Amino acid sequence: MSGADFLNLFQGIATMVSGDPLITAGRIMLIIAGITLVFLGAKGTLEPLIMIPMGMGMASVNAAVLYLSATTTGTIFIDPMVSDPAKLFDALQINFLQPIYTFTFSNGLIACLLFLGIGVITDIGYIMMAPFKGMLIAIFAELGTILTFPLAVWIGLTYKEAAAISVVGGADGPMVLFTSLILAKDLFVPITIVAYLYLSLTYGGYPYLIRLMVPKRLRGIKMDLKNIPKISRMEKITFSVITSTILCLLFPVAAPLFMSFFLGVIIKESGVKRFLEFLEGPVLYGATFFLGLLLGVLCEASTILNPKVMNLLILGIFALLLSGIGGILGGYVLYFATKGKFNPVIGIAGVSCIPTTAKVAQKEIQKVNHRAIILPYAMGASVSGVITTAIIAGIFVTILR
Amino acid sequence: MKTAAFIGPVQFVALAYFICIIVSLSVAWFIRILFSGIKWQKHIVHAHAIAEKMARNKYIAGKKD
Repeated sequence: MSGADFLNLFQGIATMVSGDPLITAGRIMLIIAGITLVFLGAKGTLEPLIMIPMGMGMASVNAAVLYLSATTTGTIFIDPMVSDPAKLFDALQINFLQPIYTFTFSNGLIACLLFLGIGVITDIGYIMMAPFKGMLIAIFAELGTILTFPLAVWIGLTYKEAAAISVVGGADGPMVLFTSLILAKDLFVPITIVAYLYLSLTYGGYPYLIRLMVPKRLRGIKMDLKNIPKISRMEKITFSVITSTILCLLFPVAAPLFMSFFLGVIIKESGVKRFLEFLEGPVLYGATFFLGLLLGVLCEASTILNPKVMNLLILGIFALLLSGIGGILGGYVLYFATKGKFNPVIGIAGVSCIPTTAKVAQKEIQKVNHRAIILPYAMGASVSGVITTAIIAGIFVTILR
Repeated sequence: MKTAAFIGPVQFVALAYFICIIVSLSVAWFIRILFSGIKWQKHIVHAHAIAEKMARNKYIAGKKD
């Protein structure tokens, strides 16, 4: 038995030895990165719901490259670039994750399913109790999106690609997925991976930004919780139906996302128990699981080793950092406008990573003043952030499509 | 896309941000209007109830006389 025969027996190793050295190095790095993500997810350092399936997919797909014919290599996980109907039909029969990718991922359905689930776990009443404050913070927290766009164009991305990466500043995973699928299909894999990777880092990174920008004495400001208006279920339903319809009317391209989010909210407020259990359990967690797994599997070295990826990594972190800064600046504007009655830390929650940023704000405040509760206001800013990000994504998609 | 091709990236993003601000504040304004409308309706219902009660009291008082 010669060396070549031995290698053909273990094709994962054979493709690694005989392939392009750059791709081989990329595969090894991505296998290590995948394993690291699994451990960081399991430890709770990164978001486990996304990182565990993503890391596992990343490690496995880069290990399992085989010879599909005498000259071509590939995997039997997924083929994201296939578009010819006949080839797609073959791929659906061969690649085990292809049906999920084709029927839920590449048409944006998975983003809508996630938004349905997010709608079901969101209390829209938080935005309704102080609508102008929430919206103002959310507008400031779009600073990253706004400043990243011209920077991305300046470093050589097209308008569509720049818009797709700048939406990372809105810190809304499904929105990034949706925008990049429509505007920059060639880059949507790296953009979405960058987005989800950074979004899971906000939990660890934003507390430092808060401590850097807000002095301790301001972090402990207590918010007024006595004069919070009571909002009835019917008021929430009325608001959701009308707002969704108006937003769909204004931005038809983003209508699936608006409808999914507000439908989730309405189902929650209507108390339809069967739907509620279905959406907040199987739909939300099923979509999250498959999103993580597909993102990992899409991280194949030959797909991900794109010269533009390094730019995307820099732009992604720039967008999220600026959005965090913008949110806190918005918090400061309200602090001065209310003559010191508004806690500026709430501003970070305008970066709409529901409910992570709101939880980060509450956690940081309680470290200074354990009796201060700002979660209702922070959740209001977060929900407003979802709406402003959807609006800005809708504008980008409508104008640039 | 045609619109975007005519203007630079800074102008384009400024336009997008401007539209975003207008729409977001309109949503906030709509919530205010919704609440004021509901409050107003509650006041009317309340005023009707008081008027009815007063009329009933007047009728009873008139009967007694």
